[in-house]
Amino acid sequence: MSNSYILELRDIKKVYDNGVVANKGISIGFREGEIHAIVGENGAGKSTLMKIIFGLEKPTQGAIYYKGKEMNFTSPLDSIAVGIGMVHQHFMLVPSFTVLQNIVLGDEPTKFSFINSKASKKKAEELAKQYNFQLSMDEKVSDLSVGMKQKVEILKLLYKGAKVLILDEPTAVLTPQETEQLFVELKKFKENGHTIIFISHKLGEVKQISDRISVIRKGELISTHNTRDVDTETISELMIGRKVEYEYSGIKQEIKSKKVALTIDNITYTQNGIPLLKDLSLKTKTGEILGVVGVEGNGQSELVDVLFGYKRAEKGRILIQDMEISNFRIKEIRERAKVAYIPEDRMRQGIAASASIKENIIASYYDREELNHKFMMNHKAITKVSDQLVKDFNVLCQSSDTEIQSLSGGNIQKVVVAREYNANPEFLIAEQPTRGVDIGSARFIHEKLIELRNKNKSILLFSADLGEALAVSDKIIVMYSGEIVAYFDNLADLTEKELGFYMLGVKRQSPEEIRRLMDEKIN
Amino acid sequence: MKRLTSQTKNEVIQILSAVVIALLVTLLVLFATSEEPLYAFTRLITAPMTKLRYFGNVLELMVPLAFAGLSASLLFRSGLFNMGGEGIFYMSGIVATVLATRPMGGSIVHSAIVILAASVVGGCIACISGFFKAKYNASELVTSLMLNTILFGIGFYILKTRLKDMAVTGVASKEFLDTAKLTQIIPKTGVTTGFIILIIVTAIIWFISNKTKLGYTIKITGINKDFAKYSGMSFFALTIIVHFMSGFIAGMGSSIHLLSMYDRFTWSSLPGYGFDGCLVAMLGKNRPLGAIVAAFGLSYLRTGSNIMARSTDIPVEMVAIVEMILVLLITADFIINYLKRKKAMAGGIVNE
Repeated sequence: MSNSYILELRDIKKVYDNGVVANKGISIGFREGEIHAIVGENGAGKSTLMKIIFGLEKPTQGAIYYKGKEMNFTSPLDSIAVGIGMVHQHFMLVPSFTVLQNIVLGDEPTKFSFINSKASKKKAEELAKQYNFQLSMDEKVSDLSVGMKQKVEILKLLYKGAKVLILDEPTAVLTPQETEQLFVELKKFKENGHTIIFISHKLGEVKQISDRISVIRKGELISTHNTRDVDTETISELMIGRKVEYEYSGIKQEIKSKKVALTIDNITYTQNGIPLLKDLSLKTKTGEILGVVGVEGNGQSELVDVLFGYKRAEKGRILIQDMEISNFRIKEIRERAKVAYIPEDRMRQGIAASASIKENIIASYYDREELNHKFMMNHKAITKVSDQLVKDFNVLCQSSDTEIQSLSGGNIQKVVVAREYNANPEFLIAEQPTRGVDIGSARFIHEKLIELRNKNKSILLFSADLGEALAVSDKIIVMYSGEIVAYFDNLADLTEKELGFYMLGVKRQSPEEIRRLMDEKIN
Repeated sequence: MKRLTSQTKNEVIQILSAVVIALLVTLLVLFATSEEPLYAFTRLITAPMTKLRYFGNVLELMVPLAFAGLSASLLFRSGLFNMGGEGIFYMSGIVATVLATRPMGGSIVHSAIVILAASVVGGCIACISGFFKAKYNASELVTSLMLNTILFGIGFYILKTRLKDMAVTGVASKEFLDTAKLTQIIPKTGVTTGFIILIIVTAIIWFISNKTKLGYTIKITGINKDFAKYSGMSFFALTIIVHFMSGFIAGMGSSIHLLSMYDRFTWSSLPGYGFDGCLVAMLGKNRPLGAIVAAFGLSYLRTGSNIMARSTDIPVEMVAIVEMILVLLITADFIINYLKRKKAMAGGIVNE
């Protein structure tokens, strides 16, 4: 059986230098001429696995077999040489070069050591014609649309003789029409004997295009299926897996004097011509945690960016209580509107890695009077606050002077949560607050969120973990394709399965229904 | 006194090892090239300490290096790679010359006016690159390097057309007035009250870096700009402030150096202190006290090699080899990484 694979991974294990385990012994075989989808949640280890196949990362353990021979890739040049090519999510093209120059880059046919552009143009044009790519070879890449750029990327690989094409989230940047076209092309490649590895978390597309599906979860291969034998529901269950059961109804107190906390009126946000938030409206109340769920890339991160002042909506307005914050700078959003934010990417956004715990735990309110004088740092007050927080939040460390990057992920996240909690917000945005965090810390963080809720504050909880969203939230909205497609105010009978239908766009409530429900509960 | 963190300890070990390795390589080179390698080596290492005048030479050269180093380290610390110290040193020098050659006030007042004016002009010049960085995200590295050439052009033009003393051959300004010059504290050397100003400025910068909100913002922005933005810190304001402070210090260094060591302004090319300042900042790990120590070390080495060149067959350029090896070893961070690896091996890697 294994001999029929064109590309085979055997027991691939990858441990990064900082101790993070990305792949825990994955074995997958790819058949010649199939479209093989790899699905999994963000952080499941898909990208690392692809980087290993493509020679960008070296596996800690395990082997790659290509056409039956063991490969030892040290760089992408090696993998391209044998016929494995990858189209990255972010294109690797030179914008100021023409289509042809990009295609032949690194592999220019020469004649008397001069570039023979005639021969290369002929070869590239033939390829384009064969696959029905409508590309003009002399156009500059910077003038092309995103969909066209992707074609150039693919053509570049074909030109270099790639037999196996890895596409990393190829549809994420495409319009529906461009996606359709891409799928037609992919099928053509398949007919011509190319093998396509298709990475995605859009299950609808995966179901439509692929022959087989491999599900990866937390660095492990869960299973591989023939696409026609499984439905999207099963795959989504496999992707998410059996979750830890959280139960917090006991500690949620009844809140009497609820008020409107956040009002979003018809905001629209477009990037590169693709609408990411479509006329979105939302209301939340104090004393409530509103869970926001949805498959990643359906507008959640744009909603956060617009709320926290990173991006400006083209239309619509945002109010915190009665204060309009649509044009506030981050500092004003934090200090005047009393908004705090636990970011998804804690290492990039949430901490300064080589600074101390102390310096990190005060960053979002270091300017306040109780901590600092007008010009001077009040080290005494800072030490007192940080030591107290380190204690209250059970941060495991030597002292608050320890460099924060020496802590484990869970403890770093506790520092981030402690800081945003201590900023004393009226409104908290919590984005994947427990991703990559051990269960003990996750429970602790949940309890802190509920503590804020019990103090009659409002929390917007973005979570990819449906178990978490259901257990921690009071109400849930589902985002799909830049819109709110469902609003649930009674979570008692709501199941992950039911949420899944809305997340995948199979079901949706009508806009009138959502608005009515939202308003009714507010007034 | 606070306990040294393990990071500081590692850095000190690293710098000391780099110095030792650099000196060993120097010794090898001396053995290969010199008739009397051991004598030359001893002169290089010990000569500056043998006479008060030699030691004075070390200190007088240290002053402009330290100012330039402090100026660069402030920028580097906040993650800004501005190399405009050269142009500022030149232009502030011109400003200082204009004022130092005209009578005004008594001794202390005159010096103070000259230094302050040169410093403020330096600060304003630095803000040009700072503004374009903050407002349009134009690379401060490129704009500052371009400004160096422009400032030299303008400055040299002013020197030749307005300041030149027709009575002397070559390009030189009129003589600085005695009221403007700084008072010597070690006789017959250029060690003047300027050295005391250096100590005070270092203390102030140390204080700002470690004890004030501004220093905190600088540190956080330098480590992670995204995090600083997320925390609500203003990158625009910080960039402008840091650039002004840095230019101010460079301008001050230039004027103090001129009023301590020169009778006339005679620079007909960029003086090189701006780039030396980047070197000093790197060697001092972008810390104010580090810059002082690095400036002293560099100055000691250069003075030593000067004396060596005078009494042996080794040319003064020899010192460039030592400097380059030092920079290589210190910026490469390899010893720190070695220490970290060793620690990780001993303690086991902490898994998430």
